[in-house]
Amino acid sequence: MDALRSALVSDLNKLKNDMISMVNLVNRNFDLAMEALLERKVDNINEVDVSDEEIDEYHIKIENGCLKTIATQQPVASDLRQIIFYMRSVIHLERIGDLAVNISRIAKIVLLMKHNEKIFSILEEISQKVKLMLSNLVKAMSNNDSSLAESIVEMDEEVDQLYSQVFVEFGKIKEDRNLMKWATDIILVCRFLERVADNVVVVANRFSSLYG
Amino acid sequence: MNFEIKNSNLIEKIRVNDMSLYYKDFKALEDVSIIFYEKNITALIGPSGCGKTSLLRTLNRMTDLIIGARVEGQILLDGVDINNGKQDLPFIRKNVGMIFQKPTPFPMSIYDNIKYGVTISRRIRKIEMDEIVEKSLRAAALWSEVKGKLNHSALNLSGGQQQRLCIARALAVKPEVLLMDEPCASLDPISTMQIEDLMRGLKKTLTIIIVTHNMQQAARVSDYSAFMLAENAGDPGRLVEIGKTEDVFTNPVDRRTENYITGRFG
Repeated sequence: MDALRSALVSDLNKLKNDMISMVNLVNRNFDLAMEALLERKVDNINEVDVSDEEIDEYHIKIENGCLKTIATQQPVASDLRQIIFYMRSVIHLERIGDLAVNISRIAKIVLLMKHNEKIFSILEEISQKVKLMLSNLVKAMSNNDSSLAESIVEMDEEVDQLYSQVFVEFGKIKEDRNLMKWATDIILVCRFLERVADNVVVVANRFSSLYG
Repeated sequence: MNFEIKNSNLIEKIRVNDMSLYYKDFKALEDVSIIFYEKNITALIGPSGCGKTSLLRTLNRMTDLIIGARVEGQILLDGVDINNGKQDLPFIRKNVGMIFQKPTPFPMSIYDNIKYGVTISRRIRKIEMDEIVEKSLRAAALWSEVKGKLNHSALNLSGGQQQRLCIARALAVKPEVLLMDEPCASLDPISTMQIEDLMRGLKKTLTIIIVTHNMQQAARVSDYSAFMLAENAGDPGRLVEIGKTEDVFTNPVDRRTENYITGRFG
């Protein structure tokens, strides 16, 4: 049946493949950035920068592909909604890529600093949650699994709660100047992680309403 | 399924109730119920053979001209059944005009083409006729192109101009409803845009029902879209879905509508 609009179907398949490649790359880059920070893998920092350029290229490629398909194939209904989903989601994926770059830069700064165990463990916990959200987004988009996408939305609340816990712990270390510098940078990382989670939620929400 | 659209601002112009159409033993349409609202454009879409043109033709009793054609159910024009035996056929055809796929100018002058329909219903003075001709041609966005050659043959006009002349001819008798059966099928893109632009202007005073195979045209020009389908060869055509055009083309309710407008079947 798809043969009737083979050019449109081919365009949509290409866009979907590019989206999945992009979200996989974003996921991988995020993992590299977190490894750089949590496991002190400094070599990852340069790799994150290089991969981010590739993410930006996907952003432009997918956006142009969407425009071309709209202009030449005049998609409607679910086809049109799918394209609009791609056009809007690439912006959020590209932002996650930028946030991973920001995190990897902070990883370089805090590498040799004295740190606080409690705050570090919260950071690890937030990181694991966000990592799971992002990897579930990859799975949901690869397998057209809207219920998995819906479950991502629920995980965001846990991230928000952990994010507020960081501030409580920060209040306890205010007299240690050396630790303060480290903690300020880590709060910034937590803020970036919270924003990564928000961007994942936006994409997951749009995805579940598209296929739900 | 309820095919009524919930909007208190809409006024019913034509209501079709459980209408079936037969050509001798062949059932072409089955249980069609649909409302066409005043001063709105409704597009009838669907694959070939689903009964779009047949439905259109029942609305001004063009089917009377087909031997063996029979309508069951009701077609109410302003609340009155056009098939009740008491309705005057010329009155119905005057109120419900029709534009066909191929332009059908009469082999006479531009002026006489417009005059023809008007003089069937009443006698008219030359000065008044001149006014009607100008007004109709202006309404059909053709006046500026033909005002200096009203006595020239209509057959010398371009396809797009001929179609607008046919619209002007239909407008001259002041219809309230205009049926358009693929009016742009034989026209180039510029003429198509002119007709579509004209339709948007005409709906301020007219109810327009258009049959089109061009999905983009239905999406561009209509307020409401109705999808019709004959599931299998030989089945009667049925109404599957009607809704606001923007909804039908972004998020249709019925999977069959989705499959058709996205080109999953033809």
